Amino acid sequence: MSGLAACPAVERLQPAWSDELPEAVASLAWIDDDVLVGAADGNVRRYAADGRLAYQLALHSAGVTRLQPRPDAQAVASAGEDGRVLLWAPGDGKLLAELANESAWIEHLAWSSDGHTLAAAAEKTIYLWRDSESLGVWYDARRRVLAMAWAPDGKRLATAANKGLYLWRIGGQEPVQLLEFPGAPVAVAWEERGAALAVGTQDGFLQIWQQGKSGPARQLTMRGYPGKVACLDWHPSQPLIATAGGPEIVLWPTREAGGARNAQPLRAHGATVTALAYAPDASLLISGDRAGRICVWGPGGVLLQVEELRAEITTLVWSSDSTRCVCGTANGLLQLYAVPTGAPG
Amino acid sequence: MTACAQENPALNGEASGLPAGADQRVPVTVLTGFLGSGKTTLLNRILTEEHGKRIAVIENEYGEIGIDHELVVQADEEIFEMNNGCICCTVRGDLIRILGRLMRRKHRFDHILIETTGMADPGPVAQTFFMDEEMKSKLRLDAIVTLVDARHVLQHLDSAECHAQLAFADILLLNKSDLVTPQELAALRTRVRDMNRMARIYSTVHGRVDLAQILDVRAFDLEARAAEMPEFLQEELPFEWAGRYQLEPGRYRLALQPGPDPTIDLVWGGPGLEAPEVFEQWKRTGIFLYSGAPAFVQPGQPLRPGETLYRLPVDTAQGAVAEIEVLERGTHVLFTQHLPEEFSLRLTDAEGTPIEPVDEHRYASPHEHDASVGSVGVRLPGELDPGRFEAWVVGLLRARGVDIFRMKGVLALAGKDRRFVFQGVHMLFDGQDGRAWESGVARESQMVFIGRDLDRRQLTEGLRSCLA
Repeated sequence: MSGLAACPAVERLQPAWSDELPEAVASLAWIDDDVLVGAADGNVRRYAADGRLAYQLALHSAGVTRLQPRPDAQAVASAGEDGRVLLWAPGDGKLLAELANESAWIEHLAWSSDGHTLAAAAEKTIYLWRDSESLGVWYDARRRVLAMAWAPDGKRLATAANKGLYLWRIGGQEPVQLLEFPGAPVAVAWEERGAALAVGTQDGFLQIWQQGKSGPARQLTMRGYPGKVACLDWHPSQPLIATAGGPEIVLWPTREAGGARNAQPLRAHGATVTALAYAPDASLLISGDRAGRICVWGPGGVLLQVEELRAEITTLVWSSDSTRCVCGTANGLLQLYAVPTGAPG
Repeated sequence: MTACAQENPALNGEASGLPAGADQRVPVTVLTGFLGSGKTTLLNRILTEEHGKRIAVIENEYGEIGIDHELVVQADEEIFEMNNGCICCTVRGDLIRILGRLMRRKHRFDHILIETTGMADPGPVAQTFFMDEEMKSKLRLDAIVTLVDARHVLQHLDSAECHAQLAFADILLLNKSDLVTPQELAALRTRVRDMNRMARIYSTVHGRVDLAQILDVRAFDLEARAAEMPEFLQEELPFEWAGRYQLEPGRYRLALQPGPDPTIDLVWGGPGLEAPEVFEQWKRTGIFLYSGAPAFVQPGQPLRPGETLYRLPVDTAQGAVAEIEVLERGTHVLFTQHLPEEFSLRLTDAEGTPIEPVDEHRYASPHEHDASVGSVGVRLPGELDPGRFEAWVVGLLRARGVDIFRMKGVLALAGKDRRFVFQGVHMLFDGQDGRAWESGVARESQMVFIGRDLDRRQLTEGLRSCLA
């Protein structure tokens, strides 16, 4: 591969440990050096750094949708198809509080970056908590929440609804509309510094709201994805977003003149990309597809490595120090990769 | 191949997917019908009967499945427009979300049942399985099963929602059929058959139907449909009326009052129609003639019994009068494109004495009368030019896709030794090669359109303009 010659310093990711779960891996998270797994059967597992299973608990009675450790790592929130939001202790999985018990699936759950506020959304309601105290709900009868993300400042929550992007402020009751567009969102992501928000839509569009350095915000649109734009991840330090709505990954430098013409396609997947994630130190981009292929990309979008896990990749998460990445599949495979010590990053 | 009429459909006949036997996708049955039609009873039966299938049910928010089933998910109808310039390209966002999650499992379901209410538009539900790449790759729409309350359906048969429900169905269950008389049931069957000629219709009591008749029937599977389609036009004729007349040699006058159309197409056949088999022969001749080019009747030109399709201009003020010249004694037949009462059609002899038919046959197509939902079948001998056909379908769906709910066809394309099987939902369509043409079989194309305000002549002539 020519990419390896161009980047001789980068070594391959090494498969470390793996495990086979009875059901699909639905959500993954790191807590300290350990891996937390939420499965489609409602079980939650914790694996130690060496792959040893620390515990397994049947916390949810139906599939886990999201696992979210609090930024201080002292508590974990989880949401499920059983309509519940739970808060539990990461050490032993002991339940600290049942925050919600609704009839609808709860598919959206996120801590603000300061760890002060937890938000969950189902249908048209957004639930808010501080510690285990409810801060009430935001309810918008006109709009169902299709995706949501906290701004890096921890004070604003962006929600995407059919045909629009909205911003809620803690303490407020009504959202401000940031963008209007014709499609239905499937994913939303904040740029690291909070100056831009990206929305991928069902009908193959990428919409970006970008706060001007001075003056009004801009709306950028990129069209032409063959499918829904479900994968979005901003580069950790540059105004660049990695996106996918089909088998191609598209890197788009959003501050450059020329708009979508500067977008760079990355081609190595044979099936629709289902997950992608930049390492926090921006050294690598990892992507997974519906057929189970994993691709590792270096700086400049150079393909470094291809792995086959043979079932749809459901989630990929880097450790905060960028030394390990954990992958989950719809067949219940859990695979940990490690960046060899001595490699840059 | 799946395409939206807004895009390039590339009618190249390539297979759109795996052969039916190798199709690993999970079948989806859409179960629809108005409140009280017996959906819940049928659903409960499907879930409790021993069939060894692991079934997931997605029910609408007012659903009430009364049993403890391993997976029942409630969905709230959520329609997404697709921003591709195609106004009827809509999908159900709630289904994409729920099914996406259900399909990302190690232990897959064998079958998915989606229950919708009688008020829900079946279009977005069906389109979801063609428009969303993930849904399309993991699931296949097996059939849309519509339950009809045989006793109460007549009360809302004229609502737009009811029309859509009936028009979209692959399988129609006339449920509670024990609560109506056999005559009422037969009349209902005829009525819904006229609206939807593609559907299989079963009469049921308490939703009791052999599950093999409604689950995994591959009604949306083109390959499977190809085998049975040759008869799908059998009940429909291109004329609405046939009258047998006992005539002596001589001159007769056919008088018409102004009617709904500026022309009417006629065929005079005979003599010799005393024998039923000769009548049947003439019916087939009539079908053939009606699919050909008509001969315009010039003023004063007499019509003679024979293998000619006459197109008689009907003046909007004066109506029309045509001379009929009968050379031989015997029973003749008149086939008319519209019902005689629409034009107050009268046959008289040279003295002006009215002549009544010995008997008459009606092949009514209700779309011609109530401007609502109906089916139009078109049968055309010969081969179609693929390029022209593609251009015509794209243009037709662009203009009429909102009103054309469903469309199916088996086509003879020039240069192909296999049938081309074709179907559409609103502006989306999909086609693939079907069975090979047997040697000695005359090539012909058949299409059925189900929709609102369909114009048979426009559709027939449009298809004819595609002949190679």
